[in-house]
Amino acid sequence: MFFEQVLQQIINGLMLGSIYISVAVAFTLAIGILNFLNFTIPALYMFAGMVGWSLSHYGLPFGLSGPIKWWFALFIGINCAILASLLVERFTYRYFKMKHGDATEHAIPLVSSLGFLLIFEYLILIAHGSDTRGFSTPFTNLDWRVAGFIISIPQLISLILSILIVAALSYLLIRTKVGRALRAIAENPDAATLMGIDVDRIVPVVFILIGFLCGVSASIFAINYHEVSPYMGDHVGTKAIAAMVIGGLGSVWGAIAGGLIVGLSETLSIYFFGASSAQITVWSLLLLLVVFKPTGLFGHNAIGKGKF
Amino acid sequence: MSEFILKLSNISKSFGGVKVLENVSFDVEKGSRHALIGPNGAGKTTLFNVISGIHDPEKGTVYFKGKDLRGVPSRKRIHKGLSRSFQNIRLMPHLSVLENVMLGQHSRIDFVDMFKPLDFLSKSSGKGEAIETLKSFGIDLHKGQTVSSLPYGIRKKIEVVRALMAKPSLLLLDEPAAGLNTAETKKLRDFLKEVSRRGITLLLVDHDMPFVNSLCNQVSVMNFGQLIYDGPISELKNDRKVLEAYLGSENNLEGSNA
Repeated sequence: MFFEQVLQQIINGLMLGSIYISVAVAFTLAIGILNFLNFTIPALYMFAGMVGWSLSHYGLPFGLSGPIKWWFALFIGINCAILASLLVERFTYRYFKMKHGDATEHAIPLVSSLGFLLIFEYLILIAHGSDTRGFSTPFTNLDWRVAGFIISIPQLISLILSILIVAALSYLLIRTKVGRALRAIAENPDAATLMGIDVDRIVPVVFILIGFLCGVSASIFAINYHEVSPYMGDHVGTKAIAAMVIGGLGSVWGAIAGGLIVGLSETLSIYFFGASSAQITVWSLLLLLVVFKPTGLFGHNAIGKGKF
Repeated sequence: MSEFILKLSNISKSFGGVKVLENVSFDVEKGSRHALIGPNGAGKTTLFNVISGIHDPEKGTVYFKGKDLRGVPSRKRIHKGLSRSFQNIRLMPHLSVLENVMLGQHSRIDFVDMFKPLDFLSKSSGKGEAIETLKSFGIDLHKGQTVSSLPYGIRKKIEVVRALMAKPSLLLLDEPAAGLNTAETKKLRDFLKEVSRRGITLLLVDHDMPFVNSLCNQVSVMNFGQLIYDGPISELKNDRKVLEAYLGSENNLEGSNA
């Protein structure tokens, strides 16, 4: 009985990990290609979820329409996250590149991105209050019972979807010309410019991907856990950063492993030691890991230098 | 009458009050192998940076194929056929030989075309072209190795091949032979002669006089930001000003081991 319960927790943990995967990949892209720890990522995640909820609950602003179908609302939410991400690019990364020739030598973009995180969060708080909101989709109690274990079908699909998105991203980075340009920018943005690569037009691609990954992850969360809140980004943000570091900075596949490990350790920790222990377990695991393997599981010494 | 691919007219540039270039004017003939030499700090690399658009000159004009390059950013200069290599190798250390060379094609790729998902399977991927060019110069692909693991001499050649992928008509080479041993220098010279035979004009900075003597046919000499000689390389050693600049070190100008 005990083993079965633990096994069930492992299944739940892996499913929870699927939420962290996309957000961890968003973090790892920003730091791997741009050497930029983009703290707005949790806010983009929350923004997509809350916009999705608002549209499916109230409809378009100014009474332009009634409540919108949940899937279309989430689709718009994802696009809003992409637009917000481009706004962040304009006023953090690009601004510093124009002013100082280099965006990443300074800690200022990081602080600016923290500013965006708080601004987005409080805008949503003003608009919708701090309550957790129910997000209803037709997928409730769609469980698959195998040998006594419960596997939620939407969660299973979400996990597969997350891994497929990361695979597609990895393909983009390795096989396409834009991927090659991105890896060149990761290694040496100045030399990439002198190769004739239009860095100013390609960097926004990274931010579009970041917005997309956050939006998808938030949609997956809303569909599986049937709720969104202005604080949902905070919970996921710290875990995703931990997942990124455990997997190895700049490694897209490492982010998958990191996401699953964080999801697993979280659910197991809650099962054995109670709800408050989750963060302690995850971060202790991270601190232990970086002592023995500072590069993370799949990272390289040259942090984020075109290693995908 | 000969045709000039590059015309420099009265280029001046200073950094923080120090005049690095003072009224430098010379022309580079189409199809020539033109050297730019001079003692350290003479302003050669700065002049290269002005030509390739990294720095703007305070005064003077760069004409490329008869057109004024003022206001044209370096990225667009590559597009027009002006490509360069660097004093310190600027290959992407963690990419493969082939990927580094293919990066050189990016100046010819439209932004939208970069997103084609199945492009690597098609002929337009540029992979075939890159492999062909590397083969034609006898450079191995070193599959499965990153560029950082290769010997210096090979990396130098790869950098030149990468610059060639932009299909330049003028290639600027900043100290291509620096750090190479005698054997490697000879190989590089033959390699650059082959590049020149393919119709590409070379303008290069180097300190290795035997190398310059055996490769180039035209030479411009700079000292303290000013041009002190411009003409055929064969008459260089008879020029008094040049000899003074090198302070009697005639041996520097005469190649013995070339």
